[in-house]
Amino acid sequence: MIQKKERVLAVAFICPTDIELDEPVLLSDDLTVKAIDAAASNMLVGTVAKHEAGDAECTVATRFRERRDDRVSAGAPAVGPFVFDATGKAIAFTAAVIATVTGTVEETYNIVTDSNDKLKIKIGSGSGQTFQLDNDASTTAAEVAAKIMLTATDFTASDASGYVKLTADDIGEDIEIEAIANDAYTALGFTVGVTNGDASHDPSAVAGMIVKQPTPATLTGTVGGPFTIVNGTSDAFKIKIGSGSSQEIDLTDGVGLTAAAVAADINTKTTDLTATVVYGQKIKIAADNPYEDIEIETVANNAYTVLGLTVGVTTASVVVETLEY
Amino acid sequence: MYQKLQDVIAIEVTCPSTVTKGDPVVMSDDNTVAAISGAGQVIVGTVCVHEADAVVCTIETRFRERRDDRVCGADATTVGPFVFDALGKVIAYASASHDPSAIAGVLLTGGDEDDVVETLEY
Repeated sequence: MIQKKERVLAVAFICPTDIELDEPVLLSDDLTVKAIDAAASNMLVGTVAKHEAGDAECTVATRFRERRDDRVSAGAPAVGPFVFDATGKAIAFTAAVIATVTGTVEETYNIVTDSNDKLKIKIGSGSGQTFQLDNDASTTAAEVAAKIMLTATDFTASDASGYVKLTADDIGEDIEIEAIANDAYTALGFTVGVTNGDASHDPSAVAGMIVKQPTPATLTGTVGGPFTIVNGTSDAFKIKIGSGSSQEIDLTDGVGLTAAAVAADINTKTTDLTATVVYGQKIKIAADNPYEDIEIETVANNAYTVLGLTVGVTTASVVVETLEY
Repeated sequence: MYQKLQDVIAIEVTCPSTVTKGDPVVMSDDNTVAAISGAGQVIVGTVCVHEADAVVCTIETRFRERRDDRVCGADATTVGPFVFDALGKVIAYASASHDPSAIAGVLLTGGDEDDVVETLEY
């Protein structure tokens, strides 16, 4: 017997065509779900409530109380669980993990007593644990791990295909490689520092799931083609997308250039944006990714008047779609 | 004032005779609950019907769905909170290994790998 609440929030998602009824599904992209393929994922949205054979869309009976399309995000969160920040904006929640640190140097190791034979490792809020390796010019990763494991607590050292690997015993515990005299860090390929295992926030603070990132920023010229672009007079174009570098190009000159030809020219010579032609033979520029502003930058002999563009910033939207508990 | 949703999933379970209406309870054995015995436990719901000294009670749960078709992903899986493994099978939530935000529900019955178990799911 399967017993269900009747008043669940059901949402249509894009899905693989072979998804099955009642299958629990994970959020995989904007308004897109997939069958479970990862253990203990916190991307679970609900179970498939309706799906026609071969269809690429399904209805999911979700675990949420509310669907919204008016939350303001901060910090460019991806789809997935979110928490609210101090100002009520949706920010990404990152789950805790079991921290691991793997040395970057492959065995064997030349360990010399009182020269490079020490390690000091701290797990979570515990005390630093000091280890001394044996004097051996051809120490293997397995031998290093075995020596550490003689006294190690709260973590496991192992031989990872010829490299020394440290794994915290519990989820959420940081691994800290601490400085110590005569350390073996260079030999093993370790670096002093902390590898985080903790969650970004307390999991009980998760308020729901971001199911769609904002629509990327767009900018449309006010003048329709065809265009006349003059070499050295009206061919310069300088644009910056998000935090990327300024991209300064010279458009191909010509008389009676179609909007499609100019858009293709822009696409060929730039990255992180896509130029298209919209109604009225106008050029539309769209950032390839959400959260990225479009900035038309000042440059001499530009094509802005020809294309109907204005120097300035088009700010990307930060409004996301959410499912909330 | 108490204000409650009317369409919660209520289930009948075995319980200690001392349980009291309104007690939050946790899973203790197959289809059996016990009063909370420690901090931070994942409760299955609260007792809504219990006759004096009876060893069965009805609890109103916090879940959206009750199922009896999930497949167990590991031997000796016990009742309590669970997560899905990479194959979509249910395994017991382990605080040392899983982030709490991955908890998908509560196992009402335990079992060994590939056994069919009963679940309550968010």
